[in-house]
This record gives sequence, C-alpha cells and structure tokens, in this order.
Amino acid sequence: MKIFNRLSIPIVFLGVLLSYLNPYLSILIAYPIVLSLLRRFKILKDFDEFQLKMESEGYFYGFIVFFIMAILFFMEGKMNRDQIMSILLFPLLVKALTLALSTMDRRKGILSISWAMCLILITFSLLSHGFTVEGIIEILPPIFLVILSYIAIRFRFVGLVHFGIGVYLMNLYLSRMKGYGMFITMILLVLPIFSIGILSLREEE
Amino acid sequence: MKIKLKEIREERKITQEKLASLVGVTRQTIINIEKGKYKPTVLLALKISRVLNCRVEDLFILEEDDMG
Repeated sequence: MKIFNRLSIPIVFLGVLLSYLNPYLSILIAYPIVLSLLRRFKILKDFDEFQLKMESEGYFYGFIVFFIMAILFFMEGKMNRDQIMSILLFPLLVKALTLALSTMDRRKGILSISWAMCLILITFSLLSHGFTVEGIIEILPPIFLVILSYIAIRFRFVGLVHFGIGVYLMNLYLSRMKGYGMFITMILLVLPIFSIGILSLREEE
Repeated sequence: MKIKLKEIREERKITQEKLASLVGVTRQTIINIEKGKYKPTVLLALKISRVLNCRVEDLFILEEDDMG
C-alpha cells in the first residue's frame, strides 16, 4: 500500500512535465489529492489516525499557501478579478459547507447555507443584470430556495425536494456546460442544495 | 494530561515497534503519543490498553488543568 504514497512525487513531477505536451495531462498533478480522498473514504487504508490527522494539517497549511499565492498572482496581474474571486471564494464556500454540515444544528445549518447561497446568487444576478426585469426574474429562484428551506425546517421530508432540485440542476448543467464553468456551477449551486437536503433529512437526537 | 504509556510499555517489555504493529499504527504514532504531541482516539487508546493489559485511565491521567 505504501507504494501509492511513494509514487506521489514521481507522478506529480510527470504531470508537470507532460502538461507541456498536453494541458489535460496536468490532471496527474491531482494524484495526491485522489489518494487523500481514497483515504478519507477508507478505501485506501495505508495511513493510521495520526498520519491522517497530519495529512489534514498539511492540507490546512497548503490551503493558506494557496491563498497567499493566488493573491500574489492577482497583485502581479497574472489573473483577472473574476478568476481570483472564483479561486478564493469557492474553496472558502466548500470549507463553510463542511463546517455547517458537521458542527451546526439542523435549523442553524439549513438557514446559514440557504441565506448565504441566496445572497451570493442575488449579488451575482444584480451585478450581471442590474435592476432589470431579467435581473429580478433571476433573483426569484434563490428566494424560493430560502422559503423552501424554512419549510424544510418544519417538515423533514422537504429535504427530498432539495435533493430532487439538486439532481435536476446537476443533470441540467452537466449536459450544458463543461470544464471550469460546470465545476463552479456544481460548487455554487448543487453542493449547497444537497447540503441543505442532508441537513433537512438529518434526525436530531 | 499525564501520559504513562512509556512507563507501562517498558514495564511490559514491549518495544514501540511491537506495540505499533499490535495496534495497527506506525512507530511514529506511538512516539508522538508517548511524547504527548498526539492524543489518540478513544478506539486507539482502548486498543493500546488491551494490548498492555491495563485500563485507559492508567495510561492517560486527567489533570486539573485539562478540565479548563
């Protein structure tokens, strides 16, 4: 099993080299992250609990370095505002969702995620369309989502509606978008809706 | 928290390597527990106590400061 870990550096190095031939081959750089995911889901059992803790800690410091690098890239003009905002906001969103799912009680978690998502979507709509009819139409779904979330607090089974919406959106965007755009849509829309669904269906002791 | 793992392990004449393999962790993990740098999960603490044939409270002693 340790062989998987030992291969990390050569495979990442190979990914960097091969990315000059074809950008898609840079996916090899993700090899250590795939290993971590397999460990997280207990498919790969080559690390004990202390090693897993240290690996998480490594990711925490890696996350900080990543943020500093991204900000420096932006300051040096290597990335535009949209790119930098996406790169900084989406990992933060995933972190916030993880915390909400694991540390908040059902009601607080549902409300926090719904309101945060609603405000982000409304901000995006107003920034891109302003106070036009199109802009106002676009802010209706997030408001509907918040209303649905309030209902989900009262009726647990409404979480299934969230799952249904999540699956519908996932199907819709997977067929219409690809690459970066599709990934962002999944994180911004589908992941929070599934999270609300999970929280809604969760039974509190 | 006072950690008596090292003393009890040495009393039982078990090496760090042996203990690590018996409870399914690396030697480095045992070293870090003994030094107090890592607090094991309840499951690992129970496994260690079973291998060393003692109680968890004998290995890890709660002190007043730990109660915050």
